[in-house]
Amino acid sequence: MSEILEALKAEARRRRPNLQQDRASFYLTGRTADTQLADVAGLGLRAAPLAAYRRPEELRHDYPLILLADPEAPLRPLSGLIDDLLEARATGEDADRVRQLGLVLEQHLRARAEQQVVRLSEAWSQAVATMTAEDPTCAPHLERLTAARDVDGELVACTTDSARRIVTHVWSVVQAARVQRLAARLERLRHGLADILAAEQANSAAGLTPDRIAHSIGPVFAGELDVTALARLLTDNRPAFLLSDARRERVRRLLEVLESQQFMPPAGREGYEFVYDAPAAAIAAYHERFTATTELAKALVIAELEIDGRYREQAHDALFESWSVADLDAATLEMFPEYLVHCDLEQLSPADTIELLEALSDHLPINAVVCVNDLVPHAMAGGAGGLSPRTLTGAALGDGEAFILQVPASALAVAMDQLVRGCAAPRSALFAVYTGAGQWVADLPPFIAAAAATEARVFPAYCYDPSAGPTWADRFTLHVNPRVDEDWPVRPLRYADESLQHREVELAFTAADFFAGDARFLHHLALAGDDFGGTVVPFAEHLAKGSDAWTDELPYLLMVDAEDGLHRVLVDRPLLRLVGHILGKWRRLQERGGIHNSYAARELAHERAQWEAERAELIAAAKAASLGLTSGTGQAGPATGAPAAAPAVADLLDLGEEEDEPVARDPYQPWIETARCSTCNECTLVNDRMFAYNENRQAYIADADAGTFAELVQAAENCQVAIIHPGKPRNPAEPGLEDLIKRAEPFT
Amino acid sequence: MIERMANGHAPASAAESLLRLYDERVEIEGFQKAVPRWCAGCGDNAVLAALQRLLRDEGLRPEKTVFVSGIGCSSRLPHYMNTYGFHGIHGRALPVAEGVRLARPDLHVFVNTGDGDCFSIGAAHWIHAIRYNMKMVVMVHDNQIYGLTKKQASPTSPANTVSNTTPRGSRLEAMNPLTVTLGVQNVSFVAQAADWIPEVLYDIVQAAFHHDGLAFVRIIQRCPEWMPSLLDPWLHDPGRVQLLHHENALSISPSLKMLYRNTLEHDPSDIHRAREVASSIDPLPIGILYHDPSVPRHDQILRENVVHSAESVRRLLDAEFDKFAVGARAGSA
Repeated sequence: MSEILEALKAEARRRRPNLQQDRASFYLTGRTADTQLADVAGLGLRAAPLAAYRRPEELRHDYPLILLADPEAPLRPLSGLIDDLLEARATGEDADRVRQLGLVLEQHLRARAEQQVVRLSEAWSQAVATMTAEDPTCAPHLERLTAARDVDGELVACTTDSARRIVTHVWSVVQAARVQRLAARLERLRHGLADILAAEQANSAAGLTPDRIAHSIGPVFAGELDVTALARLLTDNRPAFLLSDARRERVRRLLEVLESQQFMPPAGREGYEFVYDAPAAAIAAYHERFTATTELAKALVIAELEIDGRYREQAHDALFESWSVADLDAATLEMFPEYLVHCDLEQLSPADTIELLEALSDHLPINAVVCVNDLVPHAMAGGAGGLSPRTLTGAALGDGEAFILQVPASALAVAMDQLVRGCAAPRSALFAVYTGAGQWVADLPPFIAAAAATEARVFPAYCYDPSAGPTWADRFTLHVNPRVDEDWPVRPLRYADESLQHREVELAFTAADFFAGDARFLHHLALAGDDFGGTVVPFAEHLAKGSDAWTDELPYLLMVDAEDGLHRVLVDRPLLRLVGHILGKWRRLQERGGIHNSYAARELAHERAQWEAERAELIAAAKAASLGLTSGTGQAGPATGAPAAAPAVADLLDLGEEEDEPVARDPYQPWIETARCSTCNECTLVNDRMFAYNENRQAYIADADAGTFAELVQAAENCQVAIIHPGKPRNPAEPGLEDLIKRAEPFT
Repeated sequence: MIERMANGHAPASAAESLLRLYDERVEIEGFQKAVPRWCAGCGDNAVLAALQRLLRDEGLRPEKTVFVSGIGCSSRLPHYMNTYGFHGIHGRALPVAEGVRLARPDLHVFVNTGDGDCFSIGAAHWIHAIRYNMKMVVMVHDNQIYGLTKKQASPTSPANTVSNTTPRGSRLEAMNPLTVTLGVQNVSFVAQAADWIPEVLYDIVQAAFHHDGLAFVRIIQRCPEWMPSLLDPWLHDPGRVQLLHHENALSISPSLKMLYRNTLEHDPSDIHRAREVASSIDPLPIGILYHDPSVPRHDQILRENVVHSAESVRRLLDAEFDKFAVGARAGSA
């Protein structure tokens, strides 16, 4: 047996140089023909960190989402709803049973949502019926959950089409609130203007005829009044109320404008369309309606003045004659409906893109939902070239005028607040959403693919809100990305090796891991063979070393096949370069988000150098002073001897390089050495408003004025580790202060 | 080179990364179950706080964590942790914990026991648990007295301790559980902490949690009710506490070093030196005394050739269910 082993080892040694040569050849040329390396085609490989997602139906995640009509929270994850219901209703003796059934119900609902878009109430009833038919004993438990459910809406699973549906829903709900405000204002103004005309009519001779008076009194009392005498009385001895011809005409014209407008037409009349599939159509519609917008906006303002009786012809006629939209305030413009464009990035022509970018830059009221269906660069995919999502959002971000949200479909619920803010913002907005589509070798559900794209920095998530504040830090956030301060998210991967021993490695999820699952990248990968010895290194490690090391050690990815077999897969140079390019862009984005900011780092280094210089001067001065002090005079003076005293002073001042700077404390303020607190509850039992626990369950003074000095002293005395320092009394009128101050002395 | 993913060990942490899954992180309040009923000032509170902090910082799931205890003040701890818990019988915390470890290798097992519970009635289990070296964190809350039953001398009570069972003072010198533990074959991790130095207590418990085997942590703990001044000399004179540090063990923070200036660089891989350090009572060594991650674990040895894939579990379950199946047997009519 040992002879066979020896022979195998000798063969491996003999082949090793060739194998490494083959690997280098593949790395440089991407060719596996005539080498010992094998293609990965047909193996159905996926990146090792994705192995846990082989059965996505077993995961609880944000999808399906419930589309609600609430403009502040138009989306709610089904799992979140179920969790809330279980927390409220899974109590008492059958809590475990209710909880179990609730989670099974969620699985049923998720499965139904994945088949088709369905209303929650309908899917719920069907699922409850199915479960009850299988096991009648679960009926009362499910009824409890059903009774507690107080929301309803469409259930939308994550498919490549759902991103558009979800963003459109959010936009519609926010728009509905906006349109309702406009409708209410139009209605109020219409009534106000009509009242002006009605008042003139009612006070005119024609309006005060006996017949009109009898009609207005009604049939019940008409016989009891002499309407003829009343008409005479009202007309003979009373000045007539008459509108000027100009005002009457103006009011009639205003009413005409309000009633004929098509932004919010009365019931039964057709209005404008605000949802478009192409940017050009939306922009053209906006421009076509520019005159109508101006006219209606002007009518709104004039009508307000008319109703309040504040319209002065001498001043206002000339003013409104030359008015345009530019003269209107933001609050009035914000009432008008905005335009929604939804389109696929891949369908945008260069002309469309430029037009859209110009519209965003010019603050046109346009919200664009751009669905990204492919993240593979055209050059790598063998295409003719086209627009990259980075190009579109990057250009808009560079311009800085529009609201921008870039997010994967998997994180739409996480980004709901930003989505709502973008739809409600009185300026243009761009929503770029990666749908999770791709040519995946292994079956990869869209929400996992979308999440993986963001995880791998291929489609980083960010939000830019120009109205959020005056600084870039206020306006830009990268917080949706996992491990945002690192190049790649690194997490442990646990597996069993050939001898069935458990192993664990720290594994970075890189852009190469993401692209390796796409069929168009298979020719950039090859199985690394079964002999190693330090000639191949993990991809992220290789990339981090920089270009000098690239030909010495070759990069590999860990991937799993359909049976969860783990493989080392070599990556060729073009893919490596692509990932290096993506990493560079991610780092630039990080810097925009304030992470590893080079300006801040430079400023910090400058400040530190300055601080260290000052500190060195301080130490030198302290040493000089100590030499004077120890010279026997007891006063500061020139250093005349006792050189051994200098280190003692440095020690006294605790100015050692690695030690914390001593903190100057106000002796009048109470304080606690929080880091030494042993959580023994003594102080919180004395006064739990004065003393509280921090996030590590260690005590601090929450409010020194929430109790007396006596309580501070008592807590200091009770403290098992003597870390409470009561300071000085805060209330000079507190009784027994003399004794308390004496008791506090040991703790100063 | 093909290696097999063990289905039972799928990368759960990676799963948490890609998608927003539910109940991802539990804050420290989420691990608090009830209001502790220990005496005010009791050192058990410090251990509880350190453990809750550890669970939060390590992102442990409540349903994936179990605290096992025996009987005594310290053994009430599982009641206050919002995780699985087993308040066992006197001295038998360790066998119960070993059972949990074998039956549910996916759970994180912590044992909280006291000096009476572990070193007296549970001494046999203590010795063999050290030898079996199953992965768990064993914390002995050593207040050197039986507190729950209102003051009886325990194996670690110092000589001349006056108690209900030793009214004229105990005659025997206290047992040193560290040197005993370090004398057991297969010992892999031994540390000593003090409840009044929470920073080191936390660091030790964290290191113990990451140890791949049985981590034995003796926590010197004050009992303000029955032994109020026993530890005063060490509490009020930091120079009598010796903090152990090493590049392969704990490092001491600058702020701690300002207070505890008596430090010792101790290599935890040196068992002979560990025994020497452990035998000191004054100064009191605090830190990691011994650490050998290569010691084999009994729970792993037992499972060495068993890979629990979903398929194998289903097969075994089917085989079990088939025993109860009702139907025609082969060869019957």
